[in-house]
Amino acid sequence: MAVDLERARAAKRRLRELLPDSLRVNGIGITQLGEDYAVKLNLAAAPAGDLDLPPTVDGVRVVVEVVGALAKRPASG
Amino acid sequence: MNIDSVRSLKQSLVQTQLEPMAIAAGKVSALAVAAKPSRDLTPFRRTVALGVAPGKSGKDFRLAVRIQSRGMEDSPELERIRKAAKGEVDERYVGRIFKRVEPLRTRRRPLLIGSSIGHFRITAGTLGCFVSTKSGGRRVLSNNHVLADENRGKKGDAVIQPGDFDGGTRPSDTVGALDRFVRLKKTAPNLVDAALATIRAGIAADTTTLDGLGPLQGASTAALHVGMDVHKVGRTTGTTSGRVTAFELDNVVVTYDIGDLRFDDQIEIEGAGSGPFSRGGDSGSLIVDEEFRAVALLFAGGDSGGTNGKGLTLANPIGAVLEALRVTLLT
Repeated sequence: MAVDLERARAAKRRLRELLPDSLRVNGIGITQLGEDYAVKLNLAAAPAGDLDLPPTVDGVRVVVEVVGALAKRPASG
Repeated sequence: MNIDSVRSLKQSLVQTQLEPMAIAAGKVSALAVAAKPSRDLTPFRRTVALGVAPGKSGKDFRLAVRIQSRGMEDSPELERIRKAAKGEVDERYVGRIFKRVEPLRTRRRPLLIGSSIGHFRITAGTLGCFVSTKSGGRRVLSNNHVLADENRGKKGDAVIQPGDFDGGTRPSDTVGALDRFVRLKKTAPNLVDAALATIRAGIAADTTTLDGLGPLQGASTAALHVGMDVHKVGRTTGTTSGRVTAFELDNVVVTYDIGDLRFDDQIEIEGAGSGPFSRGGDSGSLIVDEEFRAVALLFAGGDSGGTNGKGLTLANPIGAVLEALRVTLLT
């Protein structure tokens, strides 16, 4: 059965509770993998080597991406 | 002359004639120019450029001489160049050559979606679109950090088009004034980075043209989905295409002058093809779907991530922006 949007939203809330404070989270949202909704976890920096992030939460896949620092976008040079 | 002779002559003249002229100009600047911003200084003066031009037949070539200053036409340096080429020169006056100025960074009247704009104290951002207030007044929509200088602007402050970074000045380029904005919060999640500017009487606005795309078709009411193709017109990167990669993105931390601010319920977009969807200066761009209906207001981004590795762009859902400012999109 495909993961629907409501299930992905619930997994997103659950993942927020599970993540350690030391992790530099820079966005946690909803994405899509084929027919399934999934949780998108953006990180400002790669996690420490000994930290295992869950590949799924309550059966919903978690997509992790290191996005670096985000900044407003006025002209700068 | 054959091609090898022209190339050899050109190389020799660059070393013996052109380089000494450039060095002399650099010395003069270093010693004689009064204090002013470094960007105003140049170590070069306009002289001549040398190259290869076609001659009388397919295998005949001449020395191309492009004169960039009238004062050089009768100079001893140019006379030496002519003599060295034994008169086989293709000589033309080309005058001052300017860098290419992107059209969205220039003065645009009527005001155009996607063009450079900003509060007089900021560098420059993008004019997102035009909206209507409940009383029917026309306003420019862009980001708080573009029109309101991150909460520091005061109602009535001048808004200039193009922005300061693109040569806009007060009062000649003043097109309106800061009207109202959604205050950026430092201690609570933000939903939008948005502000309005009034439009000065007598200044026309093209409320529908999306340069390089087509006419704006109003605001979308459909739900966003991942993989959805989107487009924007922005001051720096012009018209670009991308796709939605995530939505309902919470806890997005964005660096501003006033500190790192948190945003919730944001849209994430990556560039289609090999380029980024946005760069600095595109802040405030309206993002539209394939039917050119508004879906979001661009406000931030980064240089990492995305399928093509060119970074991600963050945008506020347009519905939240219009609701927060109590306006409707003008088309």
